[in-house]
Amino acid sequence: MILKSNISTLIGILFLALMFHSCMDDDLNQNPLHSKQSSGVFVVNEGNFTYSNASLSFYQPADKSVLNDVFYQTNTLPLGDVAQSIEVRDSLAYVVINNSGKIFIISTENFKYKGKITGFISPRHIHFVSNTKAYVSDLYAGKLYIIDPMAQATVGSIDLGSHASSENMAQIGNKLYLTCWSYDNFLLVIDTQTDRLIDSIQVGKQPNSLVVDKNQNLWVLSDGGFPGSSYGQEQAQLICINTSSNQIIKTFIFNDIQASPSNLQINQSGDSLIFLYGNWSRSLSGAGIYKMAISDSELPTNAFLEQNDNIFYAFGIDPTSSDIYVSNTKDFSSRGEVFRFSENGQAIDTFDVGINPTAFGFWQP
Amino acid sequence: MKPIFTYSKLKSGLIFALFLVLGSQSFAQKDTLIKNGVDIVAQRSEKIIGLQIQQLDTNLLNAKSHQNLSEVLMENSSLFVKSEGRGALSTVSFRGTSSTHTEVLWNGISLKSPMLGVADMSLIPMFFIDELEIAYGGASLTHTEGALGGSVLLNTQADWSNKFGGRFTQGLGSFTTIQDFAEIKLGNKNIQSNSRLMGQYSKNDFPFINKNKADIDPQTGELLYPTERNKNGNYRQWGLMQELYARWGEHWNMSVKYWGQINQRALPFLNTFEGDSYSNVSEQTINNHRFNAEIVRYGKTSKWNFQSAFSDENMLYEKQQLSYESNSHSQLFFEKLKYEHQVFENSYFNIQYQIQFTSILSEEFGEFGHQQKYSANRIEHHGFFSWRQKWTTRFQSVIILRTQKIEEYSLDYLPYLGLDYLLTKQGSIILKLAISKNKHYPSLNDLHMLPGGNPNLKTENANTLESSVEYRKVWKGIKFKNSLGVYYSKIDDWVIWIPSPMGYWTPENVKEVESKGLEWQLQLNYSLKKWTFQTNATYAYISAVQSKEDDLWGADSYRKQLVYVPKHTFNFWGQISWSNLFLRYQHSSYSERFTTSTNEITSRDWLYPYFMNDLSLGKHWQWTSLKLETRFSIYNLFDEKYRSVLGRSMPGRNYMFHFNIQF
Repeated sequence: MILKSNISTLIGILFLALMFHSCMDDDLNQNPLHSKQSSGVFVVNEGNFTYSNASLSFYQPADKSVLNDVFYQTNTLPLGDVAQSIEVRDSLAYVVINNSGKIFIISTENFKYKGKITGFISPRHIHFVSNTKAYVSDLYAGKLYIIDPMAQATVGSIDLGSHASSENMAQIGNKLYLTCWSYDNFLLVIDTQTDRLIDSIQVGKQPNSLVVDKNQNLWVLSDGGFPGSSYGQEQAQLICINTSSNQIIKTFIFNDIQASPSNLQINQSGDSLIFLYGNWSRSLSGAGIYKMAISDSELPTNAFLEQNDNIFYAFGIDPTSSDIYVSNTKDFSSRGEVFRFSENGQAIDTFDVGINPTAFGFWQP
Repeated sequence: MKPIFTYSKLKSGLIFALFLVLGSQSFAQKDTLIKNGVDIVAQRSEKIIGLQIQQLDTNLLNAKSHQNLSEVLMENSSLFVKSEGRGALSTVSFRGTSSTHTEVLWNGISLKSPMLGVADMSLIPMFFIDELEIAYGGASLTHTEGALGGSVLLNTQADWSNKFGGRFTQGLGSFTTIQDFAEIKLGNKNIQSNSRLMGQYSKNDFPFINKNKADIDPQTGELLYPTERNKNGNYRQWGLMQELYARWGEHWNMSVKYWGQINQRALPFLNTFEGDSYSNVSEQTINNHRFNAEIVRYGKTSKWNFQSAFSDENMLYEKQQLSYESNSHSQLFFEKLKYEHQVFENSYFNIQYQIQFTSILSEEFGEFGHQQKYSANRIEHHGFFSWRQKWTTRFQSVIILRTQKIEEYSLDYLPYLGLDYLLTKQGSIILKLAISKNKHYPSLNDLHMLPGGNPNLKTENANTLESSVEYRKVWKGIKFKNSLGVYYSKIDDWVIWIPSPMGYWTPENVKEVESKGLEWQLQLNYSLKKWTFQTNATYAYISAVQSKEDDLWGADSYRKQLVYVPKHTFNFWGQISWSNLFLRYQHSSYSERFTTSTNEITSRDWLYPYFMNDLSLGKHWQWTSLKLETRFSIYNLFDEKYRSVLGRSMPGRNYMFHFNIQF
């Protein structure tokens, strides 16, 4: 009798165990997204470091609609860890996933996964030289990768000498200008025909972004490093370089050493510079989006778009409409939002995207 | 990096040590146990008056000596364990607070890494622990300050009845997992020596289908998910603990303890990673040395205790090919003087003073000669006063007042009031009520880390109110314990680390958190002839929300559950023994956890409810004082394919076999 009772208890415990059997379901996306688009704005959402929750949003300016998580929803595949940048070329978007060491190739029309290029150490940006040749910068590799986008493969690399970090790129003719951002203060010049390093220019500490103006001059923005860095911190700088002589012809120094300006961009006509003036917190006085003419003799003193209580993280300029899209990260661990402004700063729309929106890609077939 | 010891060398060392001690058995002297002095706090029931404290049974700890602390806490408490996988970082949090709000102490020495700000439970082998005490909420003030969620106290102690004894456990399991533990105890009524050694290794290369990567089938265009092995997930640990105890006369007692441990683990790639796998191989080596010396003088109604402790941690992080290396070195040294006194029959006083020195040094060496270095140190003064009073046979109370002065911060007073009331004369139902205030200071790393340290960080402040009722009953071979507790806690200036556009992270006081919940525990033991039944179940409901309505950064997170805090936690284990055979079943479950502060769920980053089941079957034998035990365990019994954190793959069904000898 007792034995029977105990066996019943044992069966009871095992039954309890079976109740919890196979309750976890790892196949989650049961209703993939099927969509067809004609034009719009891609928003790259960085996600949180090591969470592998980077995502891609798609916004249509015409009807102000937004689709979030389009890559995952379409392909049942996460984008990866820390999405960094995007380059739209024809009907394909190339999304660089920094901490996943790869670049995803995605259809701009239906967000379908079209391929990938893998094997990078810490990729940052992609720059197209032609349909069959592009460069990929890398934070730690000490080299610039040469890839064939058609073959979806790395075909070579350019050794950067003593420079470990490479960041943003801009091309004038056969010369590619490359910023060495992390713990560095050089701009490298590469011959795109021979894929050789041909020159280097010393600039302010930590050059993070660069643009070419209508006069074929190069503008480079350096953030100056960070407080307490053993590499040293200096005031951020904006410099202008004559690309014929590779000589610095203008230097603008930011007064506040706490400022870490970034995201230098230029308008369609190539005569107006726009950049993000801020640092990591709300503590910087006057933070926001700033605008200055290439002919100005001083840095602007007032924000074109004030940050106020937001945290401006990145912005993009639509090459067709000249609308400005500015991202706000909120608390860094929830959906960010994007503010859309007209060229002259009029608010047009606000929409929610993914976590930490960090880059914009504009697609117009 | 080349390992300092190889596993085979360690194993040979263990066998040699065992041989030596076996050979010296003839020197062990027989003696009888003598009672030591008058320890006025020897009775646990008095020590935990007015405190929400859970003490784990020593037999239970002995049975789990091959596990690590995170596994034991997961199985026997309502704490939330966040594990990044086998052998990887594992942290514990109480009542919805952060793992930085959990303090873990070994004989009074903090096991929190000054660099990480948290204690890694996967690096604490239960084999090195004799006593385990969990203090919930404000009760942690009896152990230390700053543990806003709670604290875990781990102790080792002398067995004065021992003359010669020891144990050896070996475990072999899936994914090339090997464990060895050995302990030798030698001594007499005046001197005791306890030596423990441990070593474990796992290749940890479990297979899994990676649904976070895919190739396109060139024929069909369908996505093909690869079957992979957990690359670069191996871990190894070697540890040595030596304890020496001495006592003379009826009044004096002394102990010296050393715990050294080398922990090496490779850091597996995220399952989305498809980069240059050689260049990104990373390894972490953590070396710990901890010394503790205590001298105690027992009086008739008093006890003096002087403690001197030192802890040293070296943490090396290396990334292959890139020549990247980060080396962090931290040291902690403290002196503590403690006086306990019994006044009349029912009043107990305890006064302590502690001075503590902490230092950190972090060096980072990057490619092409880049270097980054920072260091910091601080001196802390801690005062402690407690008064436990038995007012009547039913009503008891405790008052604690802690004070602390940490350099630039102002002097703080942290009070605690706890009341116990026996609802029945037999004392089977106890009602507890407590109110407390606590503060958590930013760590040196929070303040000075480069880049990202924030020297303007403020302390986090917690006010807690808690109550519980406990019912115990022994009836016809049934031992029954049931407890139910509720709590409410408000924490101001909650610190979170936020990323910057410049690529580094920084801590900020940005939140106000309200945490409230319920904790329930049931223990039931039943013996009948050759049968024994044991069960333990715990359940916790946690509501931990952002309660700052006007938080400009996180307005959408208002009243939302904190990231990675499950609302429901349930653990159950049951064991049936018949004669020398036993069958043990373990279940752990958590409700969904959010990974965004606004609690939005997308299928990509949803941490769905977690259910895990393990089963063990064992047999033991005993011949006089020699005990043998074999145990076969199945982990992840139902071969679940799951994730418990984002981006990390977890193993399917796996097995361990243990052999244990004790004498």
